[in-house]
Amino acid sequence: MAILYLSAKRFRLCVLAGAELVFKNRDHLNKINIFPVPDGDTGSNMSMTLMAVVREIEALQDVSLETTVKAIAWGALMGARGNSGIILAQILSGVAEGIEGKDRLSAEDVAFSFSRAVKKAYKAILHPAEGTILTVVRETAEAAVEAAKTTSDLAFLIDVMVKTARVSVERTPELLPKLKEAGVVDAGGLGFLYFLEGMLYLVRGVTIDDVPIDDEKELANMSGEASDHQLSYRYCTEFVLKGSQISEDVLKKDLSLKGDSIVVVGDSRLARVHIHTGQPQEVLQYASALGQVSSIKVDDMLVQHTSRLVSQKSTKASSVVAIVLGDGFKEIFYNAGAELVVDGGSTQSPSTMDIVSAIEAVESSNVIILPNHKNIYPSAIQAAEMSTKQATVLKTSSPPEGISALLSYMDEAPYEENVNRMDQASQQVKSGEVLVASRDVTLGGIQVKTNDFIGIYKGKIQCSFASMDETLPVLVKRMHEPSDEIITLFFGDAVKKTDAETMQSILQMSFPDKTVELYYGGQSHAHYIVSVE
Amino acid sequence: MKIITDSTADLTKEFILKHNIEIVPLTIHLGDKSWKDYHDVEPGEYYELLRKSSAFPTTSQPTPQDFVNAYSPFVEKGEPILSVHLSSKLSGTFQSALLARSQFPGARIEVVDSLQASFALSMIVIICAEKANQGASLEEVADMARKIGPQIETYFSVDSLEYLHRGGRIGKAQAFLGTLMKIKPLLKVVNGEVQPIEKIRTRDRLLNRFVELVEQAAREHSQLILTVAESDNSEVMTELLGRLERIPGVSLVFRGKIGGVITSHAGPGALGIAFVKDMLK
Repeated sequence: MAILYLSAKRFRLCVLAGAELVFKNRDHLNKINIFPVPDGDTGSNMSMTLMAVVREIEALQDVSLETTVKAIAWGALMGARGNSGIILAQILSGVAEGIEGKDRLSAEDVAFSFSRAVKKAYKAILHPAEGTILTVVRETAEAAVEAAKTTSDLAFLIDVMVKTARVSVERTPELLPKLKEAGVVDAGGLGFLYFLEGMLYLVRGVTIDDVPIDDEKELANMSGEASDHQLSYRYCTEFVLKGSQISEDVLKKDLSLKGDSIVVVGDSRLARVHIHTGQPQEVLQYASALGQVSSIKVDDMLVQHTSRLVSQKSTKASSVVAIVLGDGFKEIFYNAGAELVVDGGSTQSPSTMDIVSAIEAVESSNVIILPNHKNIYPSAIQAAEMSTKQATVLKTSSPPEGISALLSYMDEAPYEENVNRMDQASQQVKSGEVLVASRDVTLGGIQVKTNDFIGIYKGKIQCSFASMDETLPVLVKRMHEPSDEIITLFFGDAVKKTDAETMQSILQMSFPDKTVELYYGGQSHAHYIVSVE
Repeated sequence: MKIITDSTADLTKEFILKHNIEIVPLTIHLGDKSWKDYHDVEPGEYYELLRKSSAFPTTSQPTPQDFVNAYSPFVEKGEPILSVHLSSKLSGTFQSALLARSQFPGARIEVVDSLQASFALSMIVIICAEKANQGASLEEVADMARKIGPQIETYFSVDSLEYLHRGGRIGKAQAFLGTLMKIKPLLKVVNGEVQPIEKIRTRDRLLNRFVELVEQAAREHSQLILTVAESDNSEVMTELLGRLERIPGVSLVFRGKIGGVITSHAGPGALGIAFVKDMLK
C-alpha cells in the first residue's frame, strides 16, 4: 500500500523511530569514530542531539505539523553536540524550515525540504570534508529529489533514501583514506543511515526492538586507530572570560573562525570557553580584547591522543561541575576548583542538556556535580543518567554547601574518595538566607509584611523584621551553635558593598568570638546568603 | 661521635646540652636588621618582632666557612662527625656543609640531607643521638638518618600561605594560593618539599584532620613516635596534643617552638606534627 502523506503524528513517530535506532547503535558508532578526531564519541553526540529532539517532541501539547517540526528543530539545535550532531541538527532544522506552513507532507515536500536542509548543512560547516556524513546526506537528498519526480509513495521514497544512504556510507572509505586505513566507514554517515532506517522500519511496521544491532565483528582491524593524523586544531584551549557585555553568539561566531568544538557556557559577565584551535595565542588575544581572561588551560591534543592510545585512562581522576547563580559565586566556585560552572539556582533552571553538555565537556570521565539548590537536584540527577560518563550528584542544596564540598576536593585523590570527602564536607556547614517578602503572610507563628525582610533556615522562615540590621543577626542566632567558628556572609547584587560591610561589623559585634567573613555572591533572589560552620 | 645540626632543627636548650649537640645557625633578615637564629633572637621574641614588622623576612644559609669552623675542633680531636641538616630542597645549608666537608679529606664526617625541617629534623637528631648513645658507629647512624628522613610523615598548617609563597618555599601551590575563601591550608613535606594538600576552613576540622592522620598511622604501625611544634600558637597546640597523646601507641618525644628561620617561611600561627614508626625500641 502506497503512503501518500505523512501526518504530524506519523512524522513524529518516524523521527522517534529514527532516533531510537541511533540510540541502539550508539556504542557501535562510538567504536568506529575516527574522523575528524578519534575521540570515540560520535554515537554519544548523535544520540544526545536526538535525545534533545525526543524530549522536545514528548513535551508537546499541540501536535500540529508546524509545532512538531519547530519542536524538532529547536530540540536539535539546543542539544546539538559534536560535528555529526551539529550536522544532524542543521538537517533537522533545515527540514523544519522547508515544511513550514504545511499540515501534511507529500513525497515531494520531504525530498524538497531535505535537499534544502543539506545545502544549509554544507554552509554551516567551515571545512566540509567528503567521505563524511555530509556526502551521505547530499547523495541521499539528490536521490530523493530524483525519486520524488517519479513517485508519490513515501514508503518507496524513504526506501530509496535508505538504499542510497547505505551505498554512500559504504563508499566513505574510498573518499576518506583515513577511514580506509582504519577499515571502518564514517561513523556520522552511518549514524544518519540508522536514523533513516529507523524511519523506514516504522513506515513498514517493524518495531525497532526486533532490529539487530551492529557489532564490531566487521571491524577486524580497528587497532589501526593509531593513525598519525595531523590535527589542524591541535590545542584544546579553555579559559574564563570576565567582561561587561559578552555576547555568547558573537563570541561563538568569532571563535568559529579560529577553531572548532566550541563550547561557551555562561552569561554576559562571565563565560567559560572551550575551543580546539591551531593558534591558542590568537584566541587568547582575541578574548583579552573583550575582557579579563583567567584560568587559562591549553593542552596539546596530539600529545593527548598519543597518550590516550598508550593508556585509555584520562589524566584527571575527577572533575567537578557546579550549578550556581551570581557572578560572585561563579568566581568563587571556579577559584575553588570547579572545572565548569553552569548558571542555575532558585530563579533560573538550566536545561538538563546544559548540565549534560557540561558533564561531557569536562576533562575527566568521572564527574562530581554540585547542584547547590534543591530544585536543580532532579535535573542534575537526570543529566548524570543521560551522560556517557560516570557522574555523581551530591546533595548540596545551597552555594555554601557546595563551596564547603569543593574546598575538600583533592586533585590527586581517587574519585570515590573525593565523592565521600565532599559529601561529608557539604554537611559541615549550615546555610540560610535573607530575602524580601513578596506578600503579607503568617507562617509558623511569624507575621510577615510585604517588603519586610525574612530570614530563612532549614526551609523555614525563622524571623521577619522591617530592617536588615535585625533580621540577619536573629537569623544567625537561630543557626549558630557554640562550637561554630566562622560566619560567612555572601551579599547579593542588590546590596551595596558598603552596606554589606556594615552588616559584617554588626554581626561581628553580635558574635564577638566568631570570625565573620564577607564575600560578594552576586545572587539576585536573596540580599544575603549566610553560612555558619 | 659529635652530632652537628643547624638551627632549623629547633631543638630545646635542655636537649642540646644533654646530648652535647653543636648547632650551626642560619641568619634572619627583617627590614634592615639581621639576627643569628637562636643566638641573637629566641622564637618567642621573634614572633613579636615579626607580627609588628611591616617588612618581609628573608633568611640566609650558613657559609661553608661556618661549617669549617664547626667541624675543625672535632676533626683535630679525631672525633667522628655526623652533620645532619635541613632539606636541601628548602635551603642551601646542606650544600654549605658538603663544601666544608670537602676541606677535610680523610676525616670521618658524614653529611646527611634530612629532607625535613624543624620538629621533623629534631626527630632525626633525637633518634641519631639515641643510637649513638647505644654505641652505633658513625656509618650506622648516618645510614639510619638517611633512611629515616623519607619515612617520617610531616604535616603542618599555616595561617596564610603568604610567607611560604613569598619566600619561594612552596611548590604546586597555584590552586591554593588564589583561593578567594579564607582557608587554613594543611601541608605535607614530600621528598623534602612543601606541598599543600587540603583546604580547611575551621580550626576544629583542622585539629580533627591532624588526629585522623595520626590515628591512621598508629593503626598501621601500632607504635608511633611523635614530635610537634608551633609558632605562636601554643594554646591550640596544647589542645591538639591532649588529643594526640590519648591515641593508643603514640609517644610524644619532643614538643618545641618553631624558630625564627622556619617561622620566617611559615609565618606565625603554624602548627606542625611529625611521626614515624617507633624505632627507638
